[in-house]
Amino acid sequence: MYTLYDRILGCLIGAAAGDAMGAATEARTTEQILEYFGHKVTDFEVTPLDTFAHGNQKGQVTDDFSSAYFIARSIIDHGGEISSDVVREAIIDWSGHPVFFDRFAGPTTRMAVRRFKGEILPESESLQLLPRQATNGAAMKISPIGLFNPGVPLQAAVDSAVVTMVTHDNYIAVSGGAAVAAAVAEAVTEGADLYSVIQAGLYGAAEGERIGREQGRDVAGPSVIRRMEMAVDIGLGRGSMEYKMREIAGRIGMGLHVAEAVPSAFGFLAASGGDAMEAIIAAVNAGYDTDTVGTMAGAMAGALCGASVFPEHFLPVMDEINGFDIAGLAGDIERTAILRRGNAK
Amino acid sequence: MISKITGCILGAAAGDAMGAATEGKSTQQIISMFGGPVDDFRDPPRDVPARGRKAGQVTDAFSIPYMLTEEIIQNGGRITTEIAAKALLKWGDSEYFEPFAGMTTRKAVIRMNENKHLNTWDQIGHLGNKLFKGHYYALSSNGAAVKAYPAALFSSGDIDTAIDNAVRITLSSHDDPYSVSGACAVAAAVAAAMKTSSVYEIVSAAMYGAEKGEETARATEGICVYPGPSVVKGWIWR
Repeated sequence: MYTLYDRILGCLIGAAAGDAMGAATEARTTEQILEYFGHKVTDFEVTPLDTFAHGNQKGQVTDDFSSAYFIARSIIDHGGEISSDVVREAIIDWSGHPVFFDRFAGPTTRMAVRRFKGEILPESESLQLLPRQATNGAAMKISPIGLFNPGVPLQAAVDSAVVTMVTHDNYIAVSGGAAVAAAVAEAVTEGADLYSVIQAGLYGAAEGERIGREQGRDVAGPSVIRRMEMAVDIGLGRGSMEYKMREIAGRIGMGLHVAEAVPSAFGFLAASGGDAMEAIIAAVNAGYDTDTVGTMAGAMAGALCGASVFPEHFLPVMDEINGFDIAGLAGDIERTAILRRGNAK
Repeated sequence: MISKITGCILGAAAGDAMGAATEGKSTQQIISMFGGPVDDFRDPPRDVPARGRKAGQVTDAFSIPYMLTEEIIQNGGRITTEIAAKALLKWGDSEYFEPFAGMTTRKAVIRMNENKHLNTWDQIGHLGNKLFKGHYYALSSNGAAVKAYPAALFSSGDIDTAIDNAVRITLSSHDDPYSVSGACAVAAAVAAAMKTSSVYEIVSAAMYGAEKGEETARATEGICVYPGPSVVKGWIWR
């Protein structure tokens, strides 16, 4: 039976599981993943020595889900307010946790935190990095923004732009974040199906691009929307899941650029037909930035499927090892979302 | 052949010099900066890496293959990884190095000079293992392809010779199959263009070069396989 709570919980478990499973495969190619583990990764694994996440226990998350968790908590604590101040506070709070920030934070987020703390970055460094700031670090943590706006993809896109601009103030990053947030906002509704979620994602990407061009910086780079269309074509096209996984990794890319990672997440969502575990397994075995793509694919597909599609041990293992209360967070998000809806009326 | 060779070098130099004024900008930013598309040499604006230079001046993209070409000529037309490395070291002492050297090339030159002074991005590359490196370098590794055309200029239009030359040149600074694949695509296309003006034949040669380059690289000892999208196509079923 449909409940909003179940869908919210499904989104959170999917995002966290994609991150924790991908932590073990990140930065490897598909061949290197198969060679190391002897099989496809379909559950939590001990992280290899040469990965970012080396030292993580099975089920432990990285920067992707932990930053989403802190942002969601901060929004709840502020009665549902989604503003730059609330997000900045959450990110500074999050950056104080070495287990998440010191080990995992990516280049753009690191620069943003240095700015928040009052550091003036040398001109040459910011010039050098400008085109490289269209990265996936905003989209990785954006799924809760969809959860705070159930059934309202447009508002999810608008709110996600506020969140993204705090660390990634260019239109390509805003477009990628808005795509994921809008898709999640649609996926948690009772009438949602794969088609409506993909359409909401495309709509969110277009809105995000428009808002980002108005409020954010222009930056040279490929279009998130065009790449999403290519990825969805592969996902809905002919061939096995295995073939589509390799096609998406080979043609769209699984890298840090937001116009690679976000479209690939949508490609896996489409290829899985909306099956959350299939989408996550494809993402974490496709190679490269698997934990970020896994987080986004898991959030969208998990929101569409609900919590019951995940293996029973997923939630307790992740709560225990990370010190999270994911079910409690889902309940708080639901209450806050209902509160926000009341305020909007 | 001489006019083809001149055309190749002139085209490469002009592409670099014209692009020096627009590097890092979006099409929209280029149009608003210059009042329309750039179709000639322009003074680089203050917010691009080539700032302070004059219209028509080249950057790393042309100066690296230029010095490589000189080195090859001085060695009687021989192309080896050592000769390419020597040319790169000379380039590292030139005025072009500091403002322009990209991530991979900068690191290669620094490694050869055993210099420990590193900037942020070099540090990222040095922080850890091969997987860590690949994660960042796959974002930007076109430094191999940009210096691939001399491989073809010394091949008398023979595509396989150009590819072999390009592999040797690439290995002086880059160590992954995608960099080699991209370089071989360019080298094969230029070699074909020495003998034909058929776009179809040139593109076919490029596809062949990209595939053969990737295969050759994967079979080379000491090559580092990083994850990343394919230069030539999607998944190659083997």
